[in-house]
Amino acid sequence: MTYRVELLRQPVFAVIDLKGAEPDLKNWIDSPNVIFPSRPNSRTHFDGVDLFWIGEERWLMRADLDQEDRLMDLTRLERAPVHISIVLVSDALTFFGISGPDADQIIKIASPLDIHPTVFPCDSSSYTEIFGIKGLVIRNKDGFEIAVESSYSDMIDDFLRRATA
Amino acid sequence: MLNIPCPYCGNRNESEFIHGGPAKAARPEDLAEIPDADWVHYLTVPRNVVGPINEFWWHVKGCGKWFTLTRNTLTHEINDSGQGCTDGD
Amino acid sequence: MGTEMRLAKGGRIDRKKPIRFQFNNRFWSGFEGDTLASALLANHVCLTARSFKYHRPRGIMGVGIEEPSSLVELVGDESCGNLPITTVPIKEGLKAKSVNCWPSPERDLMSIAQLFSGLIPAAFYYKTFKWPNWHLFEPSIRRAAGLAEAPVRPISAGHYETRHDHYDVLIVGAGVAGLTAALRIASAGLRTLIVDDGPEPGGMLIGQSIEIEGSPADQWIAGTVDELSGYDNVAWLQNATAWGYREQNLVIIAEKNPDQPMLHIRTHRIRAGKVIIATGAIERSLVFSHNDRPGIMMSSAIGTYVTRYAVKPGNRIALFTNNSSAYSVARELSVAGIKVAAIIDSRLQIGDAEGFIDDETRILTGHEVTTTFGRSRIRGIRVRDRTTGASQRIDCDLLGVSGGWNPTTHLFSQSRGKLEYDSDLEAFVPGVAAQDCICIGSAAGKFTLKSCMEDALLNAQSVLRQLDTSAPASLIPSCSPEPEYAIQALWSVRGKSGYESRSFVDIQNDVTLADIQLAIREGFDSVEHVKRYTTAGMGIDQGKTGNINVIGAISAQLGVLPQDTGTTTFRSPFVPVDFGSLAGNREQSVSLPYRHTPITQWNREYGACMYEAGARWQRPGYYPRPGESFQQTVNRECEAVRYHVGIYDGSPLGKFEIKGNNALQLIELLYTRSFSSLKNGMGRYGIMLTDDGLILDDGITFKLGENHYLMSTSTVHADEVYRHIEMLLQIHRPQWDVRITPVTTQWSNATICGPMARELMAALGTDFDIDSEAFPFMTMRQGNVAGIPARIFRVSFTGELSFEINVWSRHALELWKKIMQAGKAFDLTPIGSEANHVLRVEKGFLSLGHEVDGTADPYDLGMGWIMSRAKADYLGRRAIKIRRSAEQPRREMVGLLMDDKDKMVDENAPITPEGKPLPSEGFVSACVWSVVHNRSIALALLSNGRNRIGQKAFIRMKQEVVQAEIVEPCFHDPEGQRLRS
Repeated sequence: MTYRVELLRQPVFAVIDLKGAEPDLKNWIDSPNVIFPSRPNSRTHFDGVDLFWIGEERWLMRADLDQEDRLMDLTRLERAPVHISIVLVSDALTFFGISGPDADQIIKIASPLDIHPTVFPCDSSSYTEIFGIKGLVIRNKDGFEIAVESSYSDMIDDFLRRATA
Repeated sequence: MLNIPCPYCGNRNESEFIHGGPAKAARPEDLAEIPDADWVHYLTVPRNVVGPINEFWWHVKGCGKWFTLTRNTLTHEINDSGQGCTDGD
Repeated sequence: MGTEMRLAKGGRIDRKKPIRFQFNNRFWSGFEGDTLASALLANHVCLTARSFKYHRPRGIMGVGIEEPSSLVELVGDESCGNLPITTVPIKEGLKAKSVNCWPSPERDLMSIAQLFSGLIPAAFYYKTFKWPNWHLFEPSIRRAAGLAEAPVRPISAGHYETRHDHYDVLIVGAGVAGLTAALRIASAGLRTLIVDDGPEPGGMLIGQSIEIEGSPADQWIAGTVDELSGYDNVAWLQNATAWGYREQNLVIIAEKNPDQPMLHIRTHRIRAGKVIIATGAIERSLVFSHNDRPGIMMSSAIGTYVTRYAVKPGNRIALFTNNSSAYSVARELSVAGIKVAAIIDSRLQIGDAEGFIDDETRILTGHEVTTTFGRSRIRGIRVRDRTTGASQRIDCDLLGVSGGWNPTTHLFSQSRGKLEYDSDLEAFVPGVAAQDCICIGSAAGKFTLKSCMEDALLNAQSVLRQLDTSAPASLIPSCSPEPEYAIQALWSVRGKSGYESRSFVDIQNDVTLADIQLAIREGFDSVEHVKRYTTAGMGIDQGKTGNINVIGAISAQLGVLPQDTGTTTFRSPFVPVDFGSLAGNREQSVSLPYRHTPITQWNREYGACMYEAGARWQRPGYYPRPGESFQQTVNRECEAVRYHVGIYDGSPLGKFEIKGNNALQLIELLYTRSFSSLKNGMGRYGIMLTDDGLILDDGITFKLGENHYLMSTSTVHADEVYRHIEMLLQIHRPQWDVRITPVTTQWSNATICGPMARELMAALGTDFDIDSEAFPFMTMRQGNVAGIPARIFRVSFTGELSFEINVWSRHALELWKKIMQAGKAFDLTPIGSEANHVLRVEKGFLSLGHEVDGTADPYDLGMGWIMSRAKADYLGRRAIKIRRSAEQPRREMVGLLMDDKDKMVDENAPITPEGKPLPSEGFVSACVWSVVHNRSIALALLSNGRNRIGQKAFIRMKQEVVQAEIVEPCFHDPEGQRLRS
């Protein structure tokens, strides 16, 4: 491997898709610990939970899989009122970790997104194109994470291995 | 490959988008009052202008937003002025 | 070896690192830093190519990407065709050969063609071989011409990569202008990328004796590069050629041999706020008789070979020029201790400063070269006094030519910037820009060092102003004095007869002045037409050294000015680009996208034949057992479903959760059928139309709660349906409160189908009643199956009793294995998409892409019942009403039973009246072997088909006409008792 990166295909995370007006969602979730991101295409972190603002009136909430029940309790998704949509999508996404000094180079190969730290700083995350398909790019302290629809995960794995081989 | 300003995400590569055709008026709620010929025209006759045209685009690989932008078909100049021509105007 | 023509000192080569390489099956040696061209010249190899059409002997004429003459083919691991010899760096083990000659340029068997060159002018082949048909002759003519052969396999070492990046400013070219501008831009802190196509920065300045700030040019370059490398906002690429300029400042760059050893070429797609084009200028040739002999070279190329490679390309040198730049070359040669025997200048007068070289060089002003002598190498030239006509012979073994300079405006022109003709420079220069870019230095027609630097600084300053930044002021460095650039156009030298069939305007394509003259006589008087008729300006070099002479020749013959003739359109790529670098990372297993389900791996291990079955999903087509034919496998799988039980992986079906106060309103607008009476936990089949009345999709939608639905779509159209709904909601009904969430891969499904499906369900164990009354057709249950939480739907795509068991994808494989285990007692058979197709045709279920062909509406498919009369509106309703009011006969879905029950007919075979060669009245949409009837059956779309049931249809196959009876389009259980059981 000539790029100094570590690739990690992550196990399933607990992920919940939230849609609706922000005040309605805040009102429904009704927990002082839940912090909504203040900037589009950014994320917050609280109590082991990541909250990504991915689009107009669209969010993703993520935690480790063993926290899935807690997220479902927190969001009360089964009982959510009709004007907000809360759907469990843990199995629909596969996350990959890309870390190491050359991680940014791999993202540049994968995606046309501008990831320069001045435009895509550490709390940034955005849906974009990853190897031709839709995917989420997240900047971490030590590199990046990407998430794609899980049916494409073998292909993305294949692409990442080829790009770094 | 265009550089397209998404109202939510800012400038992004064209490959993140799907083109939704020339912009046209929202589909009417009630078609009963519309003569057949007008309806056929609404469905099938897009304006084909040389110059600024309003277009629908979908940020399918990004935030999922459908929006309208103005593109000059001659120069590819893009802005969000909405000052191009729109079907049905 | 390799030292014959090598100078004792100087150059940018590493003399400590000798390299051996092969050219035309012989070993040669050079040094690290040499190109194939410089190394061969050092070995005194002069004949390196044979020309494209006439197989004339040719040598090396240029020094870089402009090389028109010598193309080589690399063989071995990095096989690649048609590389300009001047662009191939030598390395240990390199194997190259000349293109377009066999066995070698010295003994080329096709060289006889040059004897007939007078007989084969432009378009000769098309004119001569038109009877009876050009295509009879084309293959052998193409073989005789043409360049390298396409490599038979991909490069064995390394791969291609494409990456994207963004910069505030992109500077193309690291010559004097690029470097000067870069310093200014970088000091303002802007994200800056510098790209340069040479192995090292400096461009034309490298190795020049001219002084900047009192130091040699190389020292200024090194100092500037050093300073720039101190900025962490500056990125730098060498060996990288910007070849494409697209919309909104997207510039595409091919970087050769980047630092990662596994990479062959890295493509950069750079989106820049500003593009500064500092691509320099390219010297152009002169047109005179026999101006293509080996040993004739661009005069600046001679200078570069001497200064950069320490190679003396000839022993007795003459220069032929119409401008001042050749004198600078002569001075550089003089500094290196090389004498120029004579300079032939077509201008009558030259400046004193310009003309000063040394005492030994003869300067013949007001003279021109009329022809050259020699066979495989030039031996001498004939020089004529332009005033008196007196001529003399001058001996030389190297002739440098300079017809003036063209700013390298290719990228600027690709960006759709306009060119203007500058009659002082006799060249096209950049005019009004169309994108956010600017040309500086020689690329803008500034041909002296001082004017280059001034121009670069001035424009860098204005770029900073436009980007709202500033940088500390900087002064223009002082340079040693140099004469102004001066030129007098000389588009061609008139030969004896006036019919110049040996005066080449396009060396690479063997286009002569006579060809241009012929084209104009035949009426091709636009530059674009002349190009296409004669091929001048086409090919690998795209006429970089010759195009202006074509324009000059056209203008001269038509009696117009070059600006009125204009240029041909500059298109990308600026240099040849490998197909591999266009494909980038999409190689081998990832050349096409693919999707897997959690069962994919199991299917592979089970021996399924997998292929794409729409929407990128790799699915099992069929599961062959040893010794089975394809048809036997499909029959076995179909029989399993019809007579006991089968299972398939239905995970790819599109699935969407739809929720919101207007969710029902949305569903009612999308589907032709009414859903208002649907109760919780129940589903309904629907057809979705586009507003112009065509079928978009079909599928089943279940009601999960009030204004909360789960919609399933076909696999193939899932993305399209999502687009359709989001567009409707966001653009046409933004006031509606509805939200849609794709859950296609959240849920995977295993579908059990067949008369024994219920017994198998019971064996798996469920915590809900599966009895047909408790759990009827078109309902759903949430519960556990084999201990796994699931949503179970009673729907059927095969016409048999079915249970579609949906589980979270993480549980899918576990469920699948449990079903296979429990299914052993029932001879449970996994079935692939081939069997699924047969089963749906037997039932007459419609299929997207077969019966739904983009013209059929639901009435045509016998589904008028699905078009709600109660609803005032739904998408497509009005369009269908308008279309059907024309009362034209429509193609309707029917079944076909071939008279010969074993006869299979082709899908898409036309049906015509009585099988005659008449316009078709329909076509076969599907034909399969039915296991329930043990015969072939087909579905078709046939004009007025419903009224013709009982009559005959005639299917036209390639070799025969097949007769069939028209029947109802359902061959199995028309009442639907089995799927409801």
